[in-house]
Amino acid sequence: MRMEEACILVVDDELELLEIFSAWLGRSGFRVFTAPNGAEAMKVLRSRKVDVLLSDIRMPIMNGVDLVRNLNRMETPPPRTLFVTGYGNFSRREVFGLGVEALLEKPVSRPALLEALNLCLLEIEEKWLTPSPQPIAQRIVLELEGLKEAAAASTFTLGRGGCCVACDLPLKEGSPVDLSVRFALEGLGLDAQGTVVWVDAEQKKAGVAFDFLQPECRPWVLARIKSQNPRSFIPQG
Amino acid sequence: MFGPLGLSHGFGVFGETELSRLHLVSESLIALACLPISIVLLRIVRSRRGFRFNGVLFFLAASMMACGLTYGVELVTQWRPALWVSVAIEAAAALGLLAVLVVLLRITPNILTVPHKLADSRFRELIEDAPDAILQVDERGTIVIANRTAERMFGYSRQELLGSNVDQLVPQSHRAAHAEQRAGFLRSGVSVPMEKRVGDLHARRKDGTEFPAEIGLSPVRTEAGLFVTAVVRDVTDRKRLERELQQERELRGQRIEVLARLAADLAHEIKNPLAIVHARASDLNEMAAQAETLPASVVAQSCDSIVKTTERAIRVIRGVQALAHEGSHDPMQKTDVRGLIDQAVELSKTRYATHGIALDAVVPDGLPLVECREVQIEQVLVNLLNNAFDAIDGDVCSRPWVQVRVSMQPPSELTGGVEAVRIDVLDGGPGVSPENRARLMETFFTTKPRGAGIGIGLSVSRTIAQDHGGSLELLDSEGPTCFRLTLPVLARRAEGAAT
Repeated sequence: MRMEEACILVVDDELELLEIFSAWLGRSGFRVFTAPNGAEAMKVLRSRKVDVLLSDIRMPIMNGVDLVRNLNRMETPPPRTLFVTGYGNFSRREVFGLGVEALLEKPVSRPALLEALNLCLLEIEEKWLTPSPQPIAQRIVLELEGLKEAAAASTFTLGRGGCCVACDLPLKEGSPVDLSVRFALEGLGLDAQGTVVWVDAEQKKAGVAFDFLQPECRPWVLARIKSQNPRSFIPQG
Repeated sequence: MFGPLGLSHGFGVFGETELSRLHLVSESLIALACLPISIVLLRIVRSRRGFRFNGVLFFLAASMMACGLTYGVELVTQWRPALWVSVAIEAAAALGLLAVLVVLLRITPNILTVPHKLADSRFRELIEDAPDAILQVDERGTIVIANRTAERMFGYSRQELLGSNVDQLVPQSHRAAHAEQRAGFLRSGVSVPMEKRVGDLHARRKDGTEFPAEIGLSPVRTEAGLFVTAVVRDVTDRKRLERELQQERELRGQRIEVLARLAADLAHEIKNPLAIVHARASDLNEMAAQAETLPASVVAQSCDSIVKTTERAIRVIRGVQALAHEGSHDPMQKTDVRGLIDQAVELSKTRYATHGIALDAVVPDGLPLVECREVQIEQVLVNLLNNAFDAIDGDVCSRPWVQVRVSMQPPSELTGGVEAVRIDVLDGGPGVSPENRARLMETFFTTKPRGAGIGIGLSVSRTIAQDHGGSLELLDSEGPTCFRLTLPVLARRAEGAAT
């Protein structure tokens, strides 16, 4: 989808910021709606189709996380959602598990905001095509039984934008990582590059967002995401 | 004095029958007595191995034996002289006695250090006033030794302790188990040092009260049977200190939690204005790059926004600075509550009057002084009055009155078992909606329009109240809105007990 065709809803209790974001997005061709909190946003979402939701997290009456929870309960497919926030007291794991696709930190520049929105508007076939030019230091290697068994044991769960993997490497949030997973039962392999989104050192789990998929595994991974259609962008595991 | 036979004991008495008969009888008796004496001495040496005077006893036994033999042989020589044998045995006796002399001279200083009766009582004095109670019990648990500290610690006289069973010093609930443990200890016979005891042990005084104790046990084997020495230490003070330390730690943990939350909130509150400033400035920058000249109105509008937003961020930071510093290091002092309230009312009076809102305070007589940091409590009161004012002033349906009511609250667990002063601030405003009620005490939460308040008043006020061991709450009741500040009369004690 292109920006010129997309309808975006911006939610923030900071009215001046709402005004600035509207101006930026309007200039890029979006059809922009605004709401000062989650409750008002729900009203807009019930009355019209929205492609992208750009929301603050901490807001009065209904915060961003509750807004997404409510959206997930609605029958219509939820819009692609991005959070932009200055607040740090929330769980990244939960946010991506709820289906949010990107987290931007305030203050955010116009190019950074537009880049994130661009990425978000891509169809799944257009995603994860370019490998990283830099060598990647850390590599997660997993030898698993089968996809179902892995999901049951929560050693590997696939989401719309990445996966949750069992991993005891000392990973750092935000750092790039190589991923190599073999599924013996299906005879399938996943070879990808990603970014570590969250780490749970205690449970030895990590959430990884895909950046690039090797051509050999692209077909089955895309097919599986489409057929399963998981709500989570990165499963909580 | 020596005749041709030289060494004869009976040299001078031959020829006088009476005397020589007496001489023969005495020599036989000496010979007969010397032998059993030496046998007894040797038995002592054998059965008391390690006794420090065994050496001298051994040589003494040997000499006695030789002496006895000398007299025996002497008797025989009266009729059949066997002079070489006699002389040889005599020489052995002499050597033995010399050895006794040498050993005796060497050990004399040691012998003098052996405690005699007086020293023994001094030794007993040593344990009498030891810091721990010292008891010795026999196999049946009967107390046979108790020191003075034991009398003091348990409240029994020594007469009462001696002869009674040690189980009576154990709390009723533990007696059965204690008897069993005692039996087990006697069976194993391994000493248990004080620091090795696990779990909480308690001991019981005569008046029935109990105290936490540490007990060390060691078995004493004697010919009269097995005894157990118990050293009992009253650890009431140490346990109290440990508890206080633990409470202090928890309190510090809570403070750090509050600070962490505050830091997250603060970041949010600063990043929002920063986001606006950043956006305005980068917009201007972008426009400047595209066009030679910028319309003055656009520049003015953006700069105005930047200035106003920056000021807002500064207000937030100032509020936090005030929260960190004002009065928080003042010492707690006994303060008159009426004075505090009068001051707060005085500060707000003019503003209330100009907006036609009635303000009065109902303070009963005879209130106790409250231990508090005056500046902080004043800050809380002014803040509550400001909130009440804003609630009424912004709402046309409100009844324009605010009242401060003071009452006493009997001691409760919440205030650490001391009585507390309750300061209620009631207003005729529209009340607090249920959804705001839950978030009211959150830092930076405000229902006031942006710029009017930054929303740290109530959360700071509540932190201050909690720091005093009290509380600040919005009463959940029908009728007028009522914020209740509860302050225990003694803050410090309540602070510890509140956790």
